[in-house]
Amino acid sequence: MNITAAESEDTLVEQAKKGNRAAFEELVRRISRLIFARLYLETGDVHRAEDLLQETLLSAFRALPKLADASRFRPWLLAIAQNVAADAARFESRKKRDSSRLSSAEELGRIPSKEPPPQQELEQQELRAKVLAVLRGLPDEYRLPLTLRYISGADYDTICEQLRLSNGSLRGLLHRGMNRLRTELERLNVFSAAD
Amino acid sequence: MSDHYWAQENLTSYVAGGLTPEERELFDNHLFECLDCQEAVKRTRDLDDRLMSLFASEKPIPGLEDRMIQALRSSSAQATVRLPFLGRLMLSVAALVLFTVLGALLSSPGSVQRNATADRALMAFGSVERDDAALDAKEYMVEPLEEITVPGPTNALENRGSNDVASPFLPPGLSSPEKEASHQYFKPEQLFFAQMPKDQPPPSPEASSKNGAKPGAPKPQTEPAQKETNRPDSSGRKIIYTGEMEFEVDQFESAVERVTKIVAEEKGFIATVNSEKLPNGKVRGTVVVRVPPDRLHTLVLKLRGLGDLKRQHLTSRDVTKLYTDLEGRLRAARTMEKRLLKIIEEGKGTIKDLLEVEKQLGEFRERIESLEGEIRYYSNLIALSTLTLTIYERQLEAAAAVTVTENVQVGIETDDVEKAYREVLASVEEAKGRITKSEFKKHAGGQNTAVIHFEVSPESAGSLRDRMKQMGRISRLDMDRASLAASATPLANAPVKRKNTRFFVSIYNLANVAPRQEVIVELAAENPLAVFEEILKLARKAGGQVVPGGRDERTAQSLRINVAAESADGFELQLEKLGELLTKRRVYHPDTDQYTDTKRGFAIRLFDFSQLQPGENLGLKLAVEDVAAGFGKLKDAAKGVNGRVISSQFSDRDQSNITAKITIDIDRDKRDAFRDALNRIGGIVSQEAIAQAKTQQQTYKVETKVRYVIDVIAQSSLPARQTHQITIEVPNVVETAKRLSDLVKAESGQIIKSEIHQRPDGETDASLVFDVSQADAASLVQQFKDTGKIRSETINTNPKVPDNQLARARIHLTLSNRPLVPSDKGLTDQMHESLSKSYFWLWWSIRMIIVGLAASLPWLVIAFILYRIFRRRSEPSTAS
Repeated sequence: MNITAAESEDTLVEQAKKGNRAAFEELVRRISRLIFARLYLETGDVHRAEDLLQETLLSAFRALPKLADASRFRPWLLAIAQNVAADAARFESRKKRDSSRLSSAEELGRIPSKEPPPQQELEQQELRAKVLAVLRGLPDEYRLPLTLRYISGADYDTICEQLRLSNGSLRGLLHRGMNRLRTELERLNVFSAAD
Repeated sequence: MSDHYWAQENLTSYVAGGLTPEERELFDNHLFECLDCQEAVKRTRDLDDRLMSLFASEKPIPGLEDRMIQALRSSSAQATVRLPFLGRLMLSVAALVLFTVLGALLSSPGSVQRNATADRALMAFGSVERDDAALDAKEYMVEPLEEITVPGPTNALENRGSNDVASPFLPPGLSSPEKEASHQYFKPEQLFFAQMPKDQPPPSPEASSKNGAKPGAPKPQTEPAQKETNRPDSSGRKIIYTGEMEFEVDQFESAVERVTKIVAEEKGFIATVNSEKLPNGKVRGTVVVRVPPDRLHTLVLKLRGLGDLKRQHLTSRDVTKLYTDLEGRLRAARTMEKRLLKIIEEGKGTIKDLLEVEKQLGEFRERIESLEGEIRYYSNLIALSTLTLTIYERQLEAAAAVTVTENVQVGIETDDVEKAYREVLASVEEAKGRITKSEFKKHAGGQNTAVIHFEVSPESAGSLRDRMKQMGRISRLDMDRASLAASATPLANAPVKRKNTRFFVSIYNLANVAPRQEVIVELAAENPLAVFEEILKLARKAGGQVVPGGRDERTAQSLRINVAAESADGFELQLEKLGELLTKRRVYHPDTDQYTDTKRGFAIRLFDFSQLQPGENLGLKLAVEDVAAGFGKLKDAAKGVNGRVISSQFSDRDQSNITAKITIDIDRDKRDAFRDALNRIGGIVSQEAIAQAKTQQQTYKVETKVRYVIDVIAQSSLPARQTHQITIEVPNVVETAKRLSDLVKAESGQIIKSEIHQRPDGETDASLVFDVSQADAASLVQQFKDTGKIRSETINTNPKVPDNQLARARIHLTLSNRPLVPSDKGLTDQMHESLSKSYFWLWWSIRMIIVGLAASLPWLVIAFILYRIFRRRSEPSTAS
């Protein structure tokens, strides 16, 4: 655990609670990819994840003064993300139920493109779904670094920052996570099927 | 071997780039030796690559954090605007629902309370809005600040964002300096001005170029003095002043002379003079004047007297930068020249090099010359301002005369056409006019016309016109003046040539001219023939003439008379007095030659009075005691008011129902007297106005007569006005019945029926019917009532029967000695009653509930929907 980083994050949270935008934005920089990763695992859709991330951050900023313990900022934010994702899912299912009420823009977004995606792309999609399923099955501490790396496109240092982990502790998590992912994928013959 | 474990542990980090450079080196070294690790790295890298490429399309577009922050700024700014508004809306809707329901429920107890609540609600609403306004004002406040120098591009972005979002989120009391600073940053232009001195308006590019000249003065010449003080360009500013002016002058040459003089006064000179002769013989030219810049404005002022200033345009151009640039380049070129010269002087190097240098030198000299030329050009422009004058001569029209011709058209009405004709001819002769056409015509029926066309000199036209006015009534006088100019645009002061005035005179008499105004009168008279003669007499007196063909001797009923206009009003008044005026119409013919105002036409129709229907017909029903006597009295009454009995009819075939009918015409003013007489004879049962059947010939009605159609009927045949039904419990029925019958007889009432039933059980009923006059009825009934206990009493009034002294009242009296029966209400009845009461209240409550629900349900639904929208818009619930 990087103690100085933790302290500064708490300070930032305190500042943000007082309405300091810059502090909150710094927090956003530090943490948004992590939440993005979480949301992506939830939704499996990069655009939706980004929308939900935005919503989460907005909600968080509004509710920030209500946060009592600054050190609980991360779990709190993740909980908000969870709620946002759940709300969105609920809203989504309700919208599906009465699809007639879809607004035209949403409808347009839903209409699949006229041309069918090429075979390769279809396969990729299928593969992605499988890998995602495997990732979802992993414990949080393993899947988050992996999601951060492969989906939110974070480099090593960014992963450290986002997870508030030291370089060393990330190594182990990454290693074990990678190994578990590999074994799972091999067990399910995910990549060999594609070959 | 510990290296191997370490490597195995850090393999993924190695692939992911998480190792420090030293560790990396270490790892690479180990990898070189260890085949296992090489394999492992290969596999890991393989998987890493696969995963990377697999999710390549799923990665967010770079700059995720920045986008988030951006979105956060903009969306929260939006939300802050929307949220309070929605909240307010919700509040107001809720209040509305509450108050509506309350109002609906409390509507009957009193509306005052409801109004009070409504007012309170409004006040609350207003206060909310006021708060908001205050908040807004706060937000838009601009104060001087210290942060203006701070913001760099990124910083600025951040500041703006924080301003956008932070302000609504901050508690109202908390206004941190940072917040204010960012507010101010948000309004850069305001800040900019705030920094400047208050009294100075924002600088414009023009102002800055004028070097201290006050901005906002569009015409520099308005303050030449100030300009001059600023003129010596101490600051080294190089400004070119140019101007253009356009003048319209009387003469080009003299204008140029004046310009030369003025320019010389101002120490300037005339650079060029161009002039050309235009097709219309005018000269147009341009004069270019050069003058020292500080004299430019005085020059402009002086030149204004040159002629009509049509256009003026003064500009200045700041060429300081250009000038200094040129100077710099020139300096550089000179230095280079010097250096090259030095090289040549020293004579070092090969011939070829020297030649090259020589060539270069030539190039530089050329450049120097051109630069010098350019600088000279600008210096010249700066040293002397250029003023271009465009001068042209005024466009004068050629002195071609404008010819004016006047045409006069005169129409004269006169009795003696021939005399007027001769007079006109004589007067034209007198005025030495020229007659172009003259004719005199006599038509049938005494109609004469004359036409004269002539020309006279314009001087004598006026007097001739006046003379013609004496000859008769001028019915028409058209004068038109046509001026014909030699050129298309005649000038106001061009000489005018007046041509002879042409007259077109037509003279005519009025014998055949119909009057313009015609009065159509229809009269009703007792003796139409006498009236006819009377009218003729009147017409003669008024100097009127009977229009030929207008008199209808056969029927002696209509005639047409024309009367001179001045006596027409009197004639009309007298005419109306001769009989009863039925209709009077006025017809105005169009004001043309065929009609004249000097006469008024009367078309008169006469009607026999007796043949006309009266205007008002009244149908009466008169009830009398004795029809025959009443009939006679009625005839007498009609005679008494000079009425005319049109028809009368008396029938007594049916003795029980004798009727008579009589139709009488009576003068309107005798109506009241007749009505009184009628009232004396009997009672008027009904009265109606009888609609007159429309017939073809007789559409006129005489308003002075009223026709009465009277039906006379016997009073006894009318039903009773009042019917009393009284049931009285008396101890002794028979005796009471006898007593009451006597009472009725004493009041001259009639006993219609009298029955007494005596039953074996001693009960006695008596049924009596009396007819009495209505005036006595009340006292009689009271006396009846006093005889015993009243069981029931009803009084019916028949409104169809007239309520007069002849009105009758019928009394049905039932006497009985039967005892009163106690209440017949049993337990069942009482139960039934209370049940029905309970049912009524239950039903009432349900109904009220339904009404209340119906009143409030739509509002509740709206409120619910709004609430859902609000929920959905606002962020999902925060941390659990």
